[in-house]
Amino acid sequence: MPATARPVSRRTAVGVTLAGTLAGSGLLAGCTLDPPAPDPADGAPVEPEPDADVVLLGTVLDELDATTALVAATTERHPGLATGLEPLLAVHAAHRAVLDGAAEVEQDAAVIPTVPGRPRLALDGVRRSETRLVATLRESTGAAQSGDFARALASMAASLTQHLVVLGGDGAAA
Amino acid sequence: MTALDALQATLSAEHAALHLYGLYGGRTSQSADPALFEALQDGYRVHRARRDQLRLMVADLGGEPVAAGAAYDEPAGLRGPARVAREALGTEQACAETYAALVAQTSGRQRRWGATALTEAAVLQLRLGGRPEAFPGAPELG
Repeated sequence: MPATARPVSRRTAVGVTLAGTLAGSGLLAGCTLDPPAPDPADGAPVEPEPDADVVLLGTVLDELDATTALVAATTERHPGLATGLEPLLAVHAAHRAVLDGAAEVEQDAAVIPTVPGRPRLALDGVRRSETRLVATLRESTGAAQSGDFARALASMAASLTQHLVVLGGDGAAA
Repeated sequence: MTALDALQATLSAEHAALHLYGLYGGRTSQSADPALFEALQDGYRVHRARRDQLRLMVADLGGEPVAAGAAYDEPAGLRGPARVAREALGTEQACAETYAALVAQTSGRQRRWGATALTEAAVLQLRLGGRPEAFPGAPELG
């Protein structure tokens, strides 16, 4: 763990918040953070360099939240798609619950996604977003330091691929 | 458990899966249940390929690939396409758990192999009558 400190960013701030909680759940077992180092030079808030898995977690949460927001907005604008999309919302909630544990995660104000007026195009947008999320999960699986964290991410990617198949998307490629 | 141990455990599971898929295919009519027959045939091919890949991966690490068992427990009363599909689904779910464990116990190329196998197993489950799960291969997370 590097001893240098750097200014707080939103993503790493979220990660630091989660680290302690997820370490308790065992998912990120072994991830620890050094205590903040003083920075007399400018007095700005500093935090320790986050664990690599904590940074990965922040990336996954960002992608998961963006995808969830898009699915929710699509469901709201096109109620006729709700039957097909509600299982996605449910599985996103289940995945986030595992990533959150009991943590109180501070989130940025949600960006309201733009949803096309034509249902078919809106559904295509959901498929693309879900496919991006699967790719992020797969990349993070390979990069994770913790084996248990990697296993959870791989399982989430497999789950979303199942949902894409049911949705009739083309994101089933492993 | 070392990466070699994890690969050997996965290879053992592939031997068992191959045996069972052969059994399932033998109890399924290609003309009466073409979709199930095709899914079982695809499953057999995929598991055979994975077995061969795992043998090489074990050998690459200096191990002696475990051999198939002399005998395996076979499901009793395996009659009718619904029963065959249910048993095959159970086999695929068990394989998914093995692949997920491999992901946890390895890194690099071996982990990527396990993650790909996990996703493929999850998708094959849908063809065997399964429904999307929140955590394929890791049901205790749900």
